[in-house]
Amino acid sequence: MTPSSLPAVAGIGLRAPHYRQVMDTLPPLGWVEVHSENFFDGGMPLAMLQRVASHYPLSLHGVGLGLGSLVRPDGEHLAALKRLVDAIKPPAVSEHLSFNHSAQRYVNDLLPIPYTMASLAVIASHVDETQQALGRRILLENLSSYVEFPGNEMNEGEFLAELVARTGCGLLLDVNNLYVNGINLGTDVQAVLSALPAAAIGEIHLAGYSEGEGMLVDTHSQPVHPGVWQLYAQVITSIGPRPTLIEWDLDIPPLDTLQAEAAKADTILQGARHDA
Amino acid sequence: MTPEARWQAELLELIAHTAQQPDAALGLRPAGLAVYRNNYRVGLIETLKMIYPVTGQIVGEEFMTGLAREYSKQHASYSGNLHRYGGSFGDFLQDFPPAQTLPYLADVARLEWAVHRSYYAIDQTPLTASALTDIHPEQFGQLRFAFCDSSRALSSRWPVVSIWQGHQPGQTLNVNLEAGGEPALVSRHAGKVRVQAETAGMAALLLALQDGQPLGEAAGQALAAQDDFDLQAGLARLFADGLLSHYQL
Repeated sequence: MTPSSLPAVAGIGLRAPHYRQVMDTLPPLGWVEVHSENFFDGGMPLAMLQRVASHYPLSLHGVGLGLGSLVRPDGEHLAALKRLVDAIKPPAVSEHLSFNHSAQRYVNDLLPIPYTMASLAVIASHVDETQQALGRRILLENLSSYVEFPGNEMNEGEFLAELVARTGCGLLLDVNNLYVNGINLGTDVQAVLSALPAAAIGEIHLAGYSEGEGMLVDTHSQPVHPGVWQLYAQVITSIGPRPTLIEWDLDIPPLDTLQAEAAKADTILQGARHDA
Repeated sequence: MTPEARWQAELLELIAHTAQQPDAALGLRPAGLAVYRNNYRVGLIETLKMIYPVTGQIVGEEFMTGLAREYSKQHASYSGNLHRYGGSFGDFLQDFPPAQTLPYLADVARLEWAVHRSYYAIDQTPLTASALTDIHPEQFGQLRFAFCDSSRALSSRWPVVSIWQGHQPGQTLNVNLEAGGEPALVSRHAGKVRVQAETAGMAALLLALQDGQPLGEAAGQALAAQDDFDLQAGLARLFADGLLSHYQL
């Protein structure tokens, strides 16, 4: 039993340019995922999301809670997320293992946390608090990082494995993030993968990076790169089929381009089913 | 503070303040910090452009980018939800010297913020007139009301409603800036945000109630602002348009 009840097929990230087309034509999509914050509070966004959720399995993916911030989570943000989760009752709820605020300020980004025993204790308590508030298990996603805490005591995979053991949370494995970290930071991709408890992985993300100055930047603005497909196929062969999302957030192409990317993922997922 | 928490706090400051040089002990690769600094600035600027499209049309793309960049330097984000960023952009424009040649710009931005908040506001059951049937008529004057989060009245010395409407898709702009102020009411109906100009009397009634003043006081101000104001019709509209969420006696 995986920690999300999404189907183990490919889905797409549903973004504003496609809302109308999806609602009007209800194209065949395995499932869809949206960013939770875009549907906080109420009005037309929430009403539309309720309609989407009545046609497709829906995953709520948070980008703003910043559970890895070593100060208390924002109670107002958590309350807004709870209202949304209660209204939608989605098969999956996920957040990033990242930080975004201190006592002084917010930076609305997904910043890498120190992978130490001291931060593990604090962040585990934040995951507990979130799961208790929402009344459900959440999935935590690995990051693409461009800097690192110099005193890391373990890799991201070991840190996530500890969080799973302590809190019972599930994992969202972003294969592109892992690939990008391998290139940018020299992260040992295979070591991170082998540290992750396979049974906890409830969802997978795929996206395309772009090339910045001396860095691959996780812009979600491109097709999934061949190296990432290769790594994805390795993961699926190793852990079995998982719900897999095609994410595209910048220079968003026509819906059928996303569906074609999803079809590639479905081919790999089907291959793993035949081999099993 | 643990070394981990200090590292987080310092990284946040360094991302927001691009002129600051990082301490080598933080172990930050310059190319990595540059990615976050760029994300931060571009993210806030794009957020402001999304919330303030009419302001952007009035000043043009390039000037809007400059305004948003300057605002983002002065105003930190205070929420993990970017939809809450930028609420004081109108006040900023009021005081920012390069924007002074367009004296109505600040009020247009304030109206756009009200539209933005109305669109996302929480769903509430509006107060109906029948909720007041148990209240003795002699007490009506002491009633105070809370507005729904999706409702907001604004006053302006400028024809902001005509300016805003003239910049909506498919509309043509036909505004006489000397025509005087247009008080605005922003409200939401079946999810759609409505922006309309109000009479002086209705505006005075709405603004006084929004300010927390009792109904008797607000009615007096409405009649003082417009001597032929139809108070009965004005009060009926508060309920018919679903503007209020609670009352307090």
